[in-house]
Amino acid sequence: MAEIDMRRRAALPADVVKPVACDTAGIRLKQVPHLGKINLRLDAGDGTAAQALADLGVALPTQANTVAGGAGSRTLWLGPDEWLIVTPPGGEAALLAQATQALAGRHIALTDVTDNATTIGVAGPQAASLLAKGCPLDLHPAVFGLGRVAQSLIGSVDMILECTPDALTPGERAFLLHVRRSFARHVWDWLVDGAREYGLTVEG
Amino acid sequence: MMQIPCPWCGPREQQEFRCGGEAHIVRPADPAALDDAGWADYVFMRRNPRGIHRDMWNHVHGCRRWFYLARDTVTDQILAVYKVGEPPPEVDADAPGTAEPGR
Repeated sequence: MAEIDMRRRAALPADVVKPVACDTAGIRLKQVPHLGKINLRLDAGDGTAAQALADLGVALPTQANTVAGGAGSRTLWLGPDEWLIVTPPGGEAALLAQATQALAGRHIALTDVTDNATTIGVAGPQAASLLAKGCPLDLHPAVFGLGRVAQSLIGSVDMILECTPDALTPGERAFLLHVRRSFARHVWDWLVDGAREYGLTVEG
Repeated sequence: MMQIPCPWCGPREQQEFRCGGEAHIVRPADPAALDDAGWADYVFMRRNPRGIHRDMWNHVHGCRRWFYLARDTVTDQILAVYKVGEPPPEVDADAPGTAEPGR
């Protein structure tokens, strides 16, 4: 009998994330399921802990509302002593074990929160306009450009919003919304509804 | 609506925050000695001034940290923002004893 790994089930099922094509799409939506996520609580003044994490390839951004790191794992600033480490799918278990070992004996907390949130990608020339319909952040490129992150609201739902490069259009911004798994369907429907006036492509 | 400068995240809309009420209310030093009127005073009675007021706020949809705000209740003008543990800064037109508990 085949074993079912519950964690491999995306928050949004395939009948919700149905591919839609549009030649003049202002918005491109996609689900980015199964990104590994580790919540880190640590005294930001502890330089040796930051170095121990750097040795594992985990960069700690100390500037508020910024992201550090790149292709492997990246680290999102959540608060003065709190970060979210985002890894490629399946990468969280090994990193959690390594980081727990590297920081052993310190007053820290490392928590696997992979299943807490799922991620929705919003791209396209009208992406910021769509988010601005329900997000109180200032999304002007001068304020919320590449490498910025913020915890805020979309509609009335908590989210972590991350600004990333658009994979299709070099130099343009795209956004990643990390939202609670149980709110993902609501946020997805809200985005699809809001994207109606701009033209929508859903990447399956 | 106010735009509130979170000491950690920078300026954000009020809807990301929750107000925790009057700040700097000190728990009675000897609770066992307090009578009912004293408890009622500590738990329920607030100054509710027209003018400068010091609030506790939580950035509940952001970094989830508590901080203090000195605010004019007439204009909602924010006069000072400071972190927990920092000494309350003096603000313009601050009446003597504004930062004190009591009424």
